[in-house]
Amino acid sequence: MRVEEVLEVIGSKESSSVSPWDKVIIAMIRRAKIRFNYKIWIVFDFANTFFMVLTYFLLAFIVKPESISQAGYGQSYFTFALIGIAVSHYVTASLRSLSITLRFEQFHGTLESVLSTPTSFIIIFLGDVLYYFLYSTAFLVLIIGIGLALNAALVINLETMLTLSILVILLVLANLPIGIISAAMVLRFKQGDPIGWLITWINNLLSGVFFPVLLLPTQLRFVSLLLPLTFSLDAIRYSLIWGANLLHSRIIRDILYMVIYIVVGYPISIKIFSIAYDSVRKRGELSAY
Amino acid sequence: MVLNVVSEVDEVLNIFQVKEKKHESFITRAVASLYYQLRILFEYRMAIAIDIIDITISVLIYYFVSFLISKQALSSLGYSPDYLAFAVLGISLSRYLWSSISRLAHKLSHEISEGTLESLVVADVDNLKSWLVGQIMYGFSWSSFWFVGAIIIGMILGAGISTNLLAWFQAIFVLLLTIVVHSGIGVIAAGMYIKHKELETMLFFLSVAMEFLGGVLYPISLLYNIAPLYYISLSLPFTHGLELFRRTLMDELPLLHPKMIFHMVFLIAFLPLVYLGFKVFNKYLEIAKKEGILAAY
Amino acid sequence: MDYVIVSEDLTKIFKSKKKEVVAVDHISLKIKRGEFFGLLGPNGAGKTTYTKMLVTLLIPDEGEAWIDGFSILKEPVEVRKRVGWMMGETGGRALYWRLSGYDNLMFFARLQNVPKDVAKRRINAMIKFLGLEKDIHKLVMNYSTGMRVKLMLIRALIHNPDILILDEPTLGLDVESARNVRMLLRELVDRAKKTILFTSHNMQEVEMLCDRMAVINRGKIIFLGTPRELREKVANMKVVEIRLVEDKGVLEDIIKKLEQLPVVNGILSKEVSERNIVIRVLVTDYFTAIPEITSTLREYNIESVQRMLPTLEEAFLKLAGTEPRV
Repeated sequence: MRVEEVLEVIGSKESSSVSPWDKVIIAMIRRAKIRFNYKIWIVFDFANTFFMVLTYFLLAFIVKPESISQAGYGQSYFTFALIGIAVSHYVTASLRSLSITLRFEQFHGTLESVLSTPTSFIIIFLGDVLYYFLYSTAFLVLIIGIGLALNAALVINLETMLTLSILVILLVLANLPIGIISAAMVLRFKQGDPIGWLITWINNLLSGVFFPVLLLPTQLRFVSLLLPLTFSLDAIRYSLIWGANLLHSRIIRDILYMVIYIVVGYPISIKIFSIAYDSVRKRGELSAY
Repeated sequence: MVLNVVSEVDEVLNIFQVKEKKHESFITRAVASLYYQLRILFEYRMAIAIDIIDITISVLIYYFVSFLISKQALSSLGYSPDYLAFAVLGISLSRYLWSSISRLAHKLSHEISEGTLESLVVADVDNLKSWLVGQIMYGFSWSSFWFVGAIIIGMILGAGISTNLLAWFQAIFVLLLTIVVHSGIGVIAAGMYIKHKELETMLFFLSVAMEFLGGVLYPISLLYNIAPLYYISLSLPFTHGLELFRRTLMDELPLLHPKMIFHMVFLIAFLPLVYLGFKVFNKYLEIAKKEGILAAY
Repeated sequence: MDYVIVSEDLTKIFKSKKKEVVAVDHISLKIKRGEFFGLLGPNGAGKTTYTKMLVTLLIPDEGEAWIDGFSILKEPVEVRKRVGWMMGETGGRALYWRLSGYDNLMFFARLQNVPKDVAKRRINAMIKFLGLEKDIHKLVMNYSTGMRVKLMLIRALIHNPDILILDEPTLGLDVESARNVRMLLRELVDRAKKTILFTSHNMQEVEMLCDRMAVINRGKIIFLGTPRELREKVANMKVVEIRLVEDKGVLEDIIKKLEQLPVVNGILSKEVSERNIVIRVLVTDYFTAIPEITSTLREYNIESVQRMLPTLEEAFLKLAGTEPRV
């Protein structure tokens, strides 16, 4: 090919643009392609989840059913834990996906490359979040499938599935601000992801993923009320175990808590992220090992 | 339960970029390899803090789960009715499983993809063996940190773990035996990995599966509910190591007790794997050197 | 005059616990539309820091710059739309190693608002021109340095920007690819009326391509003009080239003898090949130096001793105030 032809092709004037939504999808696809090139993580994730479900299936044989029914979640510990495991995947996705990908891109130099384009990083973030959301949804479906195969007492119908969809979207939205703050810290301090880890652990311990919050001592139960996951889990369990829909008073209460998180969380987290971003742009550490 | 992805990325690779001096013994180099790993670990104090919290939270979760567990059910399956002790011993031993099996292959893939392995081997083939032993030792130190931490926190929370000195000697013997056997498997895996890169994924899967099948969080007799898995579980050395370990520290049974002897024989039967492991590793290393695939990426 | 890249007192100071490094020290530059401008300097001179500020990836501590009239501080998005940036670093960071070359280009094209079909056409034309067709669907992690450099260049051109800021665009390329890239860049300026600011530490390249150039060292501009002016400025450097047909074993002796001569101000370079030695020295004046050198080295097989023009490299060393010693 001759240089004149190349010039002609590059120089072709086209009035054009790409819509933000298209960019979100493109960013999502790139993340999916990258992740699926690390087959090992996908396999690990699936194996880990699969065996975790089996573990709690077996553990349920030696659990006293009354300890679950006292908390109002029916008779089956397996069903209780199954929902916890399925939902906690979304929490990891919303809390840690941003900081993990950001650290990765900062480390490999692609962050600079992306930020040198006129596309706002919020769009790229949305693409990443969307990927992790869909990935977690695949897990949710898988886990519910395994659960049903193992006779989990789930109420599956159109109403509960609709309720579930709305609740997981709210769950991700309510947890994302913490994810944004921890991504800001990772960007600025280039260290692991202390906030992401900490909140993930606190969630695992205090929001009732593996055991009812009622078992916690009173002071800790108070802390659990500060975690959006506590309410998401409660609502999702209520819906999937008792077949309750969005109009159920308990679910309305849970949704209200999540909405408060969303309303308060975004302005604060985005502000913190902008401060970190500017600081890093000043220090020249957009790419840093 | 959770994997420390980020600090794995952060474990930057400068370890072996230090110029190797000649005339150093195999042991010196193995120790040097361990030392560099530890130094990196301590440079990342955050990682240590994270581990401590990780241990605490994990143990706390099982502390609360233990309130759900029916004591009768546990003792009808032949264990002391103390789920916290049961789970703490399980998760602390399972860390060794992870570090002795899949960690090696994982590290190997890391070094291969960064090209550091080739320079290591080019300098001297013995370096690789030192590297291997250093890696095993490092994994061992890291797991021991977890092990000690989990048991201490478990005991603070009232887990019924024996404080009898004799029982502990026996437990450490069982622990060492388990580690040696599994390192043998790990070295075989690492050797095969040099030639067959696609195995890495399978190894990850295997170590997760083994952890599950070994009954880290539940009595394996519950696996009767999924019968084929029960028999697979019985064929794994880890299952027996864990059983011996628990019986020692929960019930203080001696090794020659009828409930123990079967597990003991089984575990010892796996010992030749260690010798085999180094054989296999050397063989694959030779192949790799001939075919020049140490820096495959 | 129509200037498209303007910087005024642009300054960047990196602070760490122990020290402060002034990476870019009050650089003021004006680059005309359609100009091919070279920024020359050794590693660590501040070239990359300067260009990163221009493409809005780094916020300056002082000063301001405008790209096509848009402020890098106040209108970064407008700036990014107009600039094609290539980060030239060996190894090709800035690309997704776990994506194919094609996926990388497509992704960045869309972020630059180029629709899919247009991007496809442009990618196909450029990979053909640069000889990447065969490997474009392989993962970038399997690429050679040269292939990654080409990929980054295509990425910089994909949205047909008017202004190109290229950091070492030919570093790591083989001779033929480097020639192709240079030809493409020159044509982009001549025919497509692009403005190019490119950094390099290759003197010849700058001389070959640029209309105007600046030499930067320790964050400061130490020369601004045309490559020819740079040559003239250092014309008073008197260089003598000595060619000998000798084995490399005697090189050390010859150097020692030359260094003892009062007319020799310094050794600029020495090249040794199969039974051939070429030494370039800086002298005080030609008329005494040439006979003196010839007589001092009479016991060796001298092929020639003659006066030469300094190379840009030697000129640069002089401007930078670095003692020309090998």
